[in-house]
Amino acid sequence: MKLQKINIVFLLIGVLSFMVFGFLVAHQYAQLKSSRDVIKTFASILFPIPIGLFARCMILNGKNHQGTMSMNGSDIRRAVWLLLSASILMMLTAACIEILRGEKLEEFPVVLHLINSSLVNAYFVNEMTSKNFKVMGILSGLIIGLASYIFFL
Amino acid sequence: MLTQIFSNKNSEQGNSGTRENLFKMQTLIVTALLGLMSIAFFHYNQMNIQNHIKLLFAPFLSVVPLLFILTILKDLKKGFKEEAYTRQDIVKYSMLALIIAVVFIGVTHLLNQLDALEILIAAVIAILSGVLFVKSRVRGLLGMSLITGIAEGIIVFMIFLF
Repeated sequence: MKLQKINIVFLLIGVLSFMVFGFLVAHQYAQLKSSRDVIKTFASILFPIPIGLFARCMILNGKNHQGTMSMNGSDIRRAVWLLLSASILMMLTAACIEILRGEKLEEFPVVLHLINSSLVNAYFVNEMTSKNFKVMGILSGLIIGLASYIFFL
Repeated sequence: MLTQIFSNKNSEQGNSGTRENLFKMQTLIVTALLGLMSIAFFHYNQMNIQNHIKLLFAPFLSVVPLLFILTILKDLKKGFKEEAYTRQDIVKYSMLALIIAVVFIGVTHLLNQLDALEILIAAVIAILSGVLFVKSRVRGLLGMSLITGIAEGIIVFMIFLF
């Protein structure tokens, strides 16, 4: 794999997700009561990987991996709208989870791990197969929404 | 193999080679998950060995039929396609993977109820030999969806019910 062929955004998302993993594990370390929690955390990180491999196996096509949308104005506008609406949707979902569980989202890191690793995995699959800008906009919006919910609220 | 899985360029082997490698990777993941699951159950359910002679014979129950079937059976599927799969195929195999995942949540739940180590070992080796059979004889999207279903069932049980 040649390093210069990788998109810089792709690399950044990967590094950020690993930082989030590290932070969550470090944050959780004090609360780990038994190795059952360790197994749960491990399983929630591992959860999207088989789905990702399966999806990549199905979606893979013979064409070159070019973007499927052209870079004109209306497409970019649509992608930005998707990003904004996805981030708002993610914030609403996080708020709903908090209200339903009745405690802060940081208290049960399994859900955070699940959301984070699923999003990152979907991003990787999209990057490697079709590079669809709409999907990229939605996924970036979801990641931004989760990050800003944790950060600001 | 790893380069092909993680790079976004087409390799010289084409799509079917990449799909083959993804399938191998999935099989490795399932094997690791089964090992993790049996260690976790052994740790938490206070299993003990009730009958030592059964422990010795537990693997043979499924390994011997597997070897027999592998010798007499030809390939059921001829490997992966080179071109893209249709939307209908994708929906069908995703549903199949979902059904297998639900079934395997139940199977893992049953394994969680056991208290004898030898039955757990026999069951895990039976599942493993099933995976091995799928890997070597049902190479194709059908096998991929079966193995994905097994992996997801085990993981979902581990996260939410264990």
